[in-house]
Amino acid sequence: MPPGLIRLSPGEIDRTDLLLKLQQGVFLHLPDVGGTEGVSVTAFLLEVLRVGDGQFRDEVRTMMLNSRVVDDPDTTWLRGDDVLVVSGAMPGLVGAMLRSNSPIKALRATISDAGGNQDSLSRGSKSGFITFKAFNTVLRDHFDDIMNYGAYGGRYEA
Amino acid sequence: MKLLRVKMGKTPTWSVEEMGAYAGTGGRNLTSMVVAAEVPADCHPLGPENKLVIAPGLLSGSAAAISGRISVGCKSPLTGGIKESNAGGQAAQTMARLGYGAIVLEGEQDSGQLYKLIITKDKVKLEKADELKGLGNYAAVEKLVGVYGDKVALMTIGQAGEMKMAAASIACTDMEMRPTRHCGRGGVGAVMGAKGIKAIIFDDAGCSLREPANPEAFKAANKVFTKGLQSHPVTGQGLPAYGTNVLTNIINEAGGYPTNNFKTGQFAGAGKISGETQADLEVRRGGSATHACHRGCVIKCSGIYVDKNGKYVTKQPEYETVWSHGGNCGIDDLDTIALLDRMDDDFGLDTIEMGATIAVAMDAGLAKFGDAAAAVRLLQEVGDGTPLGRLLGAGCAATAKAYGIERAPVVKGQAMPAYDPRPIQGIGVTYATTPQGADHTAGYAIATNIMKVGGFVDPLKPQGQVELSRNLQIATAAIDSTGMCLFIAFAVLDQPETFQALIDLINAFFGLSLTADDVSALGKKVLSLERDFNKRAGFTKEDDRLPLYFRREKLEPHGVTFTVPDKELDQVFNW
Repeated sequence: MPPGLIRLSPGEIDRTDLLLKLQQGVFLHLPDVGGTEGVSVTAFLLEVLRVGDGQFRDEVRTMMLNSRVVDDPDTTWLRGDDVLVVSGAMPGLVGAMLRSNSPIKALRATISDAGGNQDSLSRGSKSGFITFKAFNTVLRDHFDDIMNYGAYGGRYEA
Repeated sequence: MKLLRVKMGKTPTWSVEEMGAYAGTGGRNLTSMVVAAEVPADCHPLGPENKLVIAPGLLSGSAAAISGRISVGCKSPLTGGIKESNAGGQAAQTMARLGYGAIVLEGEQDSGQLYKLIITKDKVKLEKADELKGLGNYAAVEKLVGVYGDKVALMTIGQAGEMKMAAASIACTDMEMRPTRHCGRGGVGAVMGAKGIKAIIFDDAGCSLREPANPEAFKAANKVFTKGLQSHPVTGQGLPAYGTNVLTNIINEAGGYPTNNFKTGQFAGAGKISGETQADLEVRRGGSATHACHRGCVIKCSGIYVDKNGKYVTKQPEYETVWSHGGNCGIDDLDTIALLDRMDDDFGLDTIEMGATIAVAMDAGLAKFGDAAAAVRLLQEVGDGTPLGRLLGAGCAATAKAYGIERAPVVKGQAMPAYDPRPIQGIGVTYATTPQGADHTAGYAIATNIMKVGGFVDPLKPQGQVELSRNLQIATAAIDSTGMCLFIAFAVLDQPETFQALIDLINAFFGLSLTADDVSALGKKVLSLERDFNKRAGFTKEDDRLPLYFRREKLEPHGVTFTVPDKELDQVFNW
């Protein structure tokens, strides 16, 4: 673990503060699973959120990697220092646009993850720590799962 | 249904007419038909030739779920073009149950005399309203409740409407008799002020629900429709839990959250003012994060915002408000944003326009970005009607012009909402081309089933921004005419049976056999009427553009500009 990181524990930190930290970003460990590709967004989230494939596709409707929309989480590969965002379905025209594989995704083509898997392969290390943010119903429903997986913050100041 | 025509002047008069050529219409369709047919396009928006048209939706006043939107139309003092602005609250349901399909306010009242229009089951009365003069919406509603009770529905203007400010709104009371639901955009409150109408009182005592032509089919369709809304993750879970402000985090993450007057696309304080944080705060303080704005709403996307002592401040500020008074002004304090929302509601101002205006004022050096106290002070100037307040109340474009600021994020004079069109280019197409001026709700109805008939969209193939914007605008214009809240669009997008239930509801209520093609045709008709009015008012294709700085200034973090060519924008309404 990089120096300066501390494990965030619900027993020691106010839940409201933790909810804010999860929105602003906590560090999660990205394991080295061997191979050249590393861990896909789907595989990582199944582990962190403790859900099966069907529940994952029902509940996680919006994913962003480094501020770009993930349309194919099965073949988008994570790298250390990435910023991964997960959310339930969002309201509004733009919220609908930002959904993975939205039928109106052309409206946000500028920030779509076109060819993202190739970019990710050359982006950095297959393991390490990523910054993870949870919004909307994913934050509400999987708060405990994320904490149990192990969320880290840097130099927490109560 | 009847049409109530009120002619203001030295001796105001009124008459009740048959709906005539407007029969079978409602909401935006009706308001735009009346404005297009009866208002000279070259008139001054505050002059006697302009008319203020108020219309509930086609299904308002019935048992149809979430059908309580009310539309207000006129020539806009803000844009100079046609305007339709709609709101929730109780007004649509009560007005429709009283049997009125439209109220048309005509003429002017230049003596400063204010009136209140009282509509009951058997009578219409027009009385002087001296006791309401100069009052904000909250105080005005309190006085009116003291006289008419708390079972009525009210539409009122605050000080901004009385001063005929271009950013003035019309307030509609909610179920708790608070003036929290506003026809906000385009300065419709100024037109009501120019007519000299301070308040409209709808008392539907003795009236009952509007009855459908085919009760059994209507009941069955309503059941499927309601179930579809409640089972969808957006309308059944996300919106009730967090409201629209749940968008703050994700739009910020996408780099499309306009910050400090559209200078950057991400705001460091987003998490502090997000819907998730807001809901947590409301619940901990004893407020509520789930609340309906009118009877019959099954989504309940609103809430109650209270202060540290649990005392009511305002309804749960929506995403657009939290953005305009928050990130766009560099402010990350929810209590300040709630106070500004309360002030907007009380003075009767559009929150989007006022937040955008204060950000321009900050750009002009009147205050520093992030200075919450200064933002409150500037808004108070508007309510007080000081010389500076009068200028700010004229809106974002006027303020930028007065202070020599190029960065006025407006189209057709109306401030852009909370999505930067550079990283999210598709919404820029709608901002640029809608007849309403920059408006995120103009192309909101995300309904693939409707889009299919407006022009088939294959979800597996990339589509042009222009075609999608066109189809979204068509679908939205149609839904705006039903009185349905636009939030039904999410369930309609994903669940074909919910879309079909909407069509079935309309058919069962009126004894019709409409198809999806008819819905599309209705949307096109409304847009054509509005475009034609604007053309007669002097608008050209050059008005269907974003300000040039959106093509020149790159927005971080993506480093992008708006790149949709003008010739493509000019194709949006070629159908």
